[in-house]
Amino acid sequence: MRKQDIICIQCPLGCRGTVIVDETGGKATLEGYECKEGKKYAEIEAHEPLRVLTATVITESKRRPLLPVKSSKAIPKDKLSECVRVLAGLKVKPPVAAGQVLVPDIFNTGANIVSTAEIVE
Amino acid sequence: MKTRLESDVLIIGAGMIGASIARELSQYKLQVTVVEKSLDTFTGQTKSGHGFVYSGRSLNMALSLVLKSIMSPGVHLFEPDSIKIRLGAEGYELFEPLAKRLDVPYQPAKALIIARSDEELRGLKQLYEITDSMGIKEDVRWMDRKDVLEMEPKITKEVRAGLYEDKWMKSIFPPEYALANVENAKENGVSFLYGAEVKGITALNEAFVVETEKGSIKSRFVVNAAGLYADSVAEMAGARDGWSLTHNRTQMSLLDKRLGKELFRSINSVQAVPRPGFFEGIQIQVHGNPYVHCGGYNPALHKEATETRREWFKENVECGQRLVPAFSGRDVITSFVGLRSFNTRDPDDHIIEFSKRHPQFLNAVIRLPGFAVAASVARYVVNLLGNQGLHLEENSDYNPHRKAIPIFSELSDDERNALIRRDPKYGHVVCRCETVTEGEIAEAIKRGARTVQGIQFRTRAGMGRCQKGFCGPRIIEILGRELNIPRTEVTFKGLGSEILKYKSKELLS
Amino acid sequence: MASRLMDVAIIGGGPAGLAAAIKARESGASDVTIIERAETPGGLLDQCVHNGFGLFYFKEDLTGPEFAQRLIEKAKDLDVNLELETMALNMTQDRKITACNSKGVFTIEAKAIILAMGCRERTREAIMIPGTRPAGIFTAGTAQRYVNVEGFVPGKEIVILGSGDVGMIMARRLTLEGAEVKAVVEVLPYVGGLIRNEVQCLIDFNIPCLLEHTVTEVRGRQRVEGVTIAKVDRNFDPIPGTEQMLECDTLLLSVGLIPENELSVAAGIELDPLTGGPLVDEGRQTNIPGIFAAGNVTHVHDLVDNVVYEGELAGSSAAEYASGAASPRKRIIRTRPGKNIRYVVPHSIAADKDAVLYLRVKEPGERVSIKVGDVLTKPLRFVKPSEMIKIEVPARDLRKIDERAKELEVNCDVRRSTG
Repeated sequence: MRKQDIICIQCPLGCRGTVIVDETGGKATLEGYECKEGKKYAEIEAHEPLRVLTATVITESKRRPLLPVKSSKAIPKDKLSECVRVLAGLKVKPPVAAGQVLVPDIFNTGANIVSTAEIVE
Repeated sequence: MKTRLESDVLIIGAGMIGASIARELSQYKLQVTVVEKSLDTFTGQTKSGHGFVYSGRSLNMALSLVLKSIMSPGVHLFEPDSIKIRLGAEGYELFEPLAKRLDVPYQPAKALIIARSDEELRGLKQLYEITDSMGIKEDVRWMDRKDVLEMEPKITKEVRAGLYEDKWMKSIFPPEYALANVENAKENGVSFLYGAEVKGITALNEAFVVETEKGSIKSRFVVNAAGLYADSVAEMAGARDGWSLTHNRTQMSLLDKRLGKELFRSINSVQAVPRPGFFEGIQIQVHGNPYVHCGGYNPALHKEATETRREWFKENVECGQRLVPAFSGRDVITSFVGLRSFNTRDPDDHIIEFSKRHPQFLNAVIRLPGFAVAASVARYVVNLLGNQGLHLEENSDYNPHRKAIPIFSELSDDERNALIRRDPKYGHVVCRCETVTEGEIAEAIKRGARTVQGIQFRTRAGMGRCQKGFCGPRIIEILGRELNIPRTEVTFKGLGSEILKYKSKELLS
Repeated sequence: MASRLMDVAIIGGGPAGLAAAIKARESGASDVTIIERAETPGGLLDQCVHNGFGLFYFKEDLTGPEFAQRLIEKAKDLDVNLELETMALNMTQDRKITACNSKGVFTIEAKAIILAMGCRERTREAIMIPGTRPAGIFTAGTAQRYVNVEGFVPGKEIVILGSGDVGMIMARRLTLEGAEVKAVVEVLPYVGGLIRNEVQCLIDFNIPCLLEHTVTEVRGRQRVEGVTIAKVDRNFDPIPGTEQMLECDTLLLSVGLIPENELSVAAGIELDPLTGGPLVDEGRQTNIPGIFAAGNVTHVHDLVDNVVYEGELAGSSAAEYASGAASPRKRIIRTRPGKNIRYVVPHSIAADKDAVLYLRVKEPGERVSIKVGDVLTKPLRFVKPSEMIKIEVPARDLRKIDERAKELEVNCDVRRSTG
C-alpha cells in the first residue's frame, strides 16, 4: 500500500486529495477528489507522473543564440533532469526548421525533442 | 601593474571637486594626474546631492543660517568674509559662464519656501530678515497664502505664507557637471586613473609617492579631494592635522517623470522652513525628473551606510505630501540614500589648506553646498598651489570648451533627424522611459562609461519608471559589444557587480 | 521620411497587436502598420518557451514561440507592414503618431489607431524593498528574456518574490538551467498563479513556497548576498521577530504588471484606475473616437488566447471605423464592478448585441455565482483574483434589462469563502 498526496490541476479548485495505490495490482483508492476528471487525473499522476519538457538548446546563430525546444509528448517526470543535461551538451547549427527533431526518442520515452521555432541563420 | 608615473600635481578623487580642480589646472603646462578608487566620477557624493547650485548670498543659504541660529542661538549668523560665503558667492558667479562653455544643462531654480504653522511662520520672517543683511531682499518676494495658492494650486492647503526667489540658484544634474569637467580636463592633457584606490602615501623630501591599485605615482604636490574618504586619505600621508569627518544621511525618492510637469505650474522647487535635523523639499531637476528630499539628518555610522530603510520610505512620502499632496507612494520610481560629510574642526566650514606637516599636501575638504563652490574652490586651490611654488605657465593649447553628448529627448524632430543622418544609432531608442538612443549610449562609452551605472549617469538611460526592465538587456549588449568583453563581464557598478553571472548551461556542466 | 496617412496604425507588435492587424486586414482595411520597438515581432511570446498557449484559440497546446509564429505568418501573408526597432514617441488626439528608428523621425496619421503596448513589470523600487542596491535583482520577465532568449543565467542561488505564474515558471526554468531556487516568497495566504504551475514548477522540484511572507531587506554591496524575509500580518506589514535570513545571489521579482499607458495619457485617453488601462467599449474603442486598445495595455491578461480575442475585437472595430462604415452604438449601458468584483471590461456595452465580459474577483471564493445584473447568473466552482473570468452574455439576456437602466452591475455572490 502506497499513499500519495496528489493535487489535482484540472480546475482552479485544486482538490488536494490522496491516492492509495495497491501494489499487489488491485484497484487504487481515491480520497478527496470532487469530480471524475479529477479522479482520472490523480490516478494517472500517482501511477506515473508525466510532464512535457520545454527547454532551450544553444545554437551557433549569432542572431538567435538559443533555440526553444519541447518534447513531442509528456515524458516521465523523473527523466526531466537527465534530459536537460543531454540538451545542455548540444549545439545546433542553423538553419533549423520549426518542428525539426533534434533528439529522437529521448531516453526511450517515445518522445522526440523538437524545435519550436525556426532559425534561418 | 607596477608602473611609476611622475606628476606635478596628483589629485586624489575624481568627484565634483577633484574634477573641477583638474580642469582648472589643465589651463597650465603641468603634468596632472587624478586617481579615483571607483570606476567612474559620480560614485560618491556627486551622485546623491540635490543638484542645487546656489550662491553664498541666496535664500537657500539663508535657510542654513536660520538652522544655525536655532542650533546655536546668539552666534553671529552671516559672515560675509568667511571662506564659505566668499567662495559660495564667487562660485555662483563662475558657474553660469562655465556651464555654457562646458555645455552643461542647467536651469534657474524658481524656489518657494513655505510656512505652514506659527513656528514656521516665525522662521520665514527670520529668513526674510537675513536676506536683508545678505543684501538680496529685493530679489525675494514675500507671498501670503492666497498668492502662493494662486501661483501654485497644488501646494498644500496648510500653507500660510511663502518666500519666492528665482535669481540666486540654479538646478543641475550633478554627474553631468562633474563629467563635463573630467572630459574637458582630459582633453587638455590631464590623466585620469579609475579603479586606482590609494593604498599608501609616502612623503619624500620634495614629493610624495602614492601607491594605488594601478601602480604608484610620484608627485610634487598632492591635492586631497577624496570626499567621504578625505580623512582616511589625509591620515595615510600623516596630513590630517587632527580633524576627521562625521557623516549623516537622508533618503530621497525619485518620482515618475510625468509628475515633473504636473506638480507645479512655474516653480521647480518647494521647501518648508527648515527645522534642525530635518530637510523637506520637492524639486524638479533640470531634465524634468521630480525628487522628494524629505527626511532627517540621520546618523551614518560608516562611509558606506547608503542602504535604504522601510521607515524612511514612509517618511519621504508622507512628508512630501505635506508639501504637495498631489502624489502617492505609487509614484515613487526609486529611492536612495545620500551621505553628507562635515569636518570635526569646524562643521560649518570647508578645510582648504596645506597640511602642517607636509606643506605640499593640500586638503580640499568641502562641505555642502559643494556644487556651487566647485569652480571657485578650484581657482582658490590653484592659487594656493601657485603661491606654494607650483609654476603656473599657461598652456597655449588649452581649449576651455566641451560639447555634451546630444540629448535626443530634448531635441526637436528636425534636430533629431540631423543627428540620425549623421549616425543612424541615434534613431534607435533603447531606453523607452527617458527616450535615450543607442547613439547616446555608444557616445557615453566612448567618453569613459564602463558600467551600466556609467551609462545611466551620462545619459539617464535606466533612470525611468521601468528601472532598466526594458533597456537593461540592450545596455548590457551594447557595453559588451563596444568594450569587446563577454556580457558576463559587464558590471552594474564595478568589480563584483557583474549582472549576468553565467552563460546558458554553464551550471549544468 | 514624410508623413503618411494610413488606415490602421497599431502601436505594439505582440499578440494583441498582431491579432488586431490580422483582423483589421481581414475586415477590409487596406493599409495596416504595426510599430514595434523590439527587433522582432511577437512581444513576450518569444521568451515564453513553455507550453500552455493556444488551448482555446487554436485548440492545441503550443509554446510561446509557436503561438507567435502562427500570428506572424498570418500577418505577413496578409501584407501587414511591420516597422521593427521603431519607437512610438508621441500620439495626439487627432490620431497622429510620431515615431523614430534608424532611418529617422516620422509621423504617421491614421484613420484608426490601436494601442497594444502591453505592460511593464513592477520593480523593487516601486514596492520599496529596503536595503542596499547591488546587482542581482531582476524582474521575472527580464530574467526570462536573459535565460530563454539571450543565453544567460543571472545567478545560481535564487529567491523569488511573488508566486504569480511568471515567478513560478521561472522557478522551474532556473532549476532546469542548474540554479538552486531556495524559496518562492508570497505575501498572500495562497499561491498567486495556476495550480498547474504550483504543482509542475514548485512541488515537482521541491521548491519551498513561503506563504504570508515577504522580503524585508536586501543585503550585499556589489552583488546580492542575501535577503531577509519575514512573516506578514493581515495588513501585509512584517511581523517583528519572524525574520529569517536567506543567502542568495539573485532576487527575482514577480510582483505585478502595470499596463504601459504613457502614450495614451499624453493623448488624453481616460484610464480606469482599477485596470490601469483605458476605458473601453465592447469594440475596444477608448474615449477618443478612432483610438482603440487591446491586450495587456487595457488590463492584465492571464491567457494569450483572450489577448488575441481582444485584439480581434479592436482590429475589426478599427477597420470599420477607418472605412467610415461604423454604425452608431445603440442602447449603451455602462458596466460596473459590484460585490467582490475588482473590475469589468469592457466599461460599456451596446445592449442590442451579444456581449463578452472579462472580470476579476477581489477575493477567492468557492461555489460562487457571478450575477450580471439580474439577467444572467453563472455558477463557478472556484474563483481567485489571478484567474480572469470570461462571461458571454447573449443579446437576448441583455434585452431583459430595463429600458431606463444605464448601468449593469456585476456581482460575485460567495456562497462559501475559502480561508
